[in-house]
Amino acid sequence: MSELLNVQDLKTNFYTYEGVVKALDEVSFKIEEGDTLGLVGETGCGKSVTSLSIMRLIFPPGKIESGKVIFNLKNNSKSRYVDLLKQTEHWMQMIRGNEISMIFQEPSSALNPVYTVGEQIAESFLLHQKRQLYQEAASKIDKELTKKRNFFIQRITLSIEKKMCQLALKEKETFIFKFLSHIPLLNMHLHRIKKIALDKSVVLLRMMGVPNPEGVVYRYPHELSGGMQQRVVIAIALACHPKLLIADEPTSNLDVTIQAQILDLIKELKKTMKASVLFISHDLGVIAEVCRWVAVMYAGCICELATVEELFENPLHPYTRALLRSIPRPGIKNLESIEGNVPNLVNPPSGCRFHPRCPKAKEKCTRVKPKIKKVGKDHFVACHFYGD
Amino acid sequence: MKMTNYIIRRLLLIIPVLIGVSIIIFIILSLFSPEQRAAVFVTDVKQLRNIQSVIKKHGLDAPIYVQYFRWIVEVLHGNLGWSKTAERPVLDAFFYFLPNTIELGLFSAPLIILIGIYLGETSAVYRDKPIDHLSRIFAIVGWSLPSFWLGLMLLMIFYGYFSGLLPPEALGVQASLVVKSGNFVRFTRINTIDALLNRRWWIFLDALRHLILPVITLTIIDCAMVMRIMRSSMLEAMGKGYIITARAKGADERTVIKKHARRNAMIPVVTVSGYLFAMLMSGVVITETIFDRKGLGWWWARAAIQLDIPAVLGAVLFNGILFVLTNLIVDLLYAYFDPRVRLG
Repeated sequence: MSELLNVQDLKTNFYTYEGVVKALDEVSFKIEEGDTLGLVGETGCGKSVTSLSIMRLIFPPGKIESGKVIFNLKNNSKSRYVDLLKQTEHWMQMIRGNEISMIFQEPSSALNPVYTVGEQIAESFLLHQKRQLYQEAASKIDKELTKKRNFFIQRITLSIEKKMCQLALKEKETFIFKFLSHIPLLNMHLHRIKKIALDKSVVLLRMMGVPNPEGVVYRYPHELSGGMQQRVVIAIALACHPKLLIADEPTSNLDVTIQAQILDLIKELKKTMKASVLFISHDLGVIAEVCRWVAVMYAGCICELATVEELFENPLHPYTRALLRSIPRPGIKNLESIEGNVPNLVNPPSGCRFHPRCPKAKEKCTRVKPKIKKVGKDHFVACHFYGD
Repeated sequence: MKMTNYIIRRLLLIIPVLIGVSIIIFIILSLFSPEQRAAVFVTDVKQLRNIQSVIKKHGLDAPIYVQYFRWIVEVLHGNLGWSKTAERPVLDAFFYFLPNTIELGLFSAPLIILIGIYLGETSAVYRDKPIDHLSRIFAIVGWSLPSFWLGLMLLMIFYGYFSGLLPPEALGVQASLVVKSGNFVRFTRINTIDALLNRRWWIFLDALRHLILPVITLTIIDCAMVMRIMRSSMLEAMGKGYIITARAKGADERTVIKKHARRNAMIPVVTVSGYLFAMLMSGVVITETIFDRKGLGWWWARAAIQLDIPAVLGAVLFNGILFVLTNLIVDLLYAYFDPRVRLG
């Protein structure tokens, strides 16, 4: 298995009026191909910022300061590594939704209220798979042309459409092509590829387990239930078969029964589509269910990274231990909580960011920031008490 | 079918609105004594000595509700009374003054709405950049300038300083002579459109020349409101989750703004635009008076000053109908722009 995503020393700041919020401080992790990494942590610890930084969707006042996001653009089993942070915005637009895509927390706000579900899913196809759409359109037109019972005018319109499709296929969309596409009668090919994209989204919705997808594509988001909306959001993300799917708390605003359905769906789709998943959640139970690897985040740093079994059996970092102790389990009456509060990231604690709340903190912890070190076979910890 | 039902129901709403408005007007009228109201009809000293006969003649001493029903019956017969300021029946006067107002609205409303939307959108997209500050300054200045001052200043510069470059009134002397002559067919009585239909290009240009200053005045003053609302709703839309979804899909900045943000940001602007359009149609009193364009606002301003009660009552009726209609149109547009709104 080769590496798909390698995040190295990612640093993201937000320049607000209160001061510089150091949201991410040298975050590093890897995702292997076909693997699932869970990112867990409290609210405001930088989980979402990590995912948005990978997608390069951080906008002012936020800024990605330094680090590397190395992504493997595999083509015919030949690896090609690119640093996403060094690419142009236009290049990133071709990657987003095509190679890396994202599912959001709140399905009701993630969908545009004024467009139908079908239009929103079809947009993904229209953005990234125009060539295939034109090819399909051309072959469909050919089929229709071979039918004998065509009227004369129909023949003319079909051949105009075919010419336009060929023009689109021959080269990238030139100025002349774009100009012609705005003229009525000459722009029928646009309606045709939109229709094809809509048909494709029907197929996709059926795959997501949406009942009656032919009707649902003409519905507006507010007419669907939360679970259905989340399925639509997942359909948008998976439209172009991305290699990496970032799921940013996809189930936290859903009912428990729907949550289980959505989790099953994500697991199943991951298998069929052979995608890797970066699964973000504050719920360790959900993470344990879906992921193979877990990274625990605290105040913009990753403090522990291990396989799920290893982390639950042998947690090392004091924060992870405290976190695991605060999960309700049968047989435990009094839940423990972690002393103190999440630090303000404008003035994060010096050294290890967890030291003010850490029961074991020593003098060294207040001075030196611990590096993430390998302590076991599949286990990495950023703490002065382990390793070396 | 549901839609037509809805529209018919909304149109029927005009009747209670008009009854309500006219009752309020009559209550205000009842504050005057019969003598005061009779003064409206007095034309010479002889009549003034004999004021009781004037009151008798017009039934001004009857109880106010009797007068009200008398007026209602007249209105239902299509008789809105005689306007002494326009020196013709109110209904005739209305159709005589309406074209000038429509012409002004026809040219300024699209300008106000389009410029307002464009400025608001750009200033939201380039938030806190120089262009945003510039258009906000423009909006604040436009918002706070009184229209009589701005109109007079523009007249002083373009009519006074540049000796008659952009004159007031609706048409030049020569052009208005031609327009009134027999071989100029007045299809709509709107100067610019009639000139085009008659293929008299120079009259069209002359009418345009007279339109420029009032249109500029109205645009500068009113587009501030549209701009502010577009800017804030655009900023709100740009922060929504669906914008991140669109970006995560790989949409370019142009698609994100023009397709996803703008359509959502337009929803509140529709309401304001409808209101603005109604304001322009019901006569822009000050602008029409300053530029001496004989439109509805010009007439009503005069009628109000000279206590031309039939004309004022007609104005109130017209405004009632106009606002109910524009509200209906705004609601229909609303349902078109926002699929979450269901009519019925």
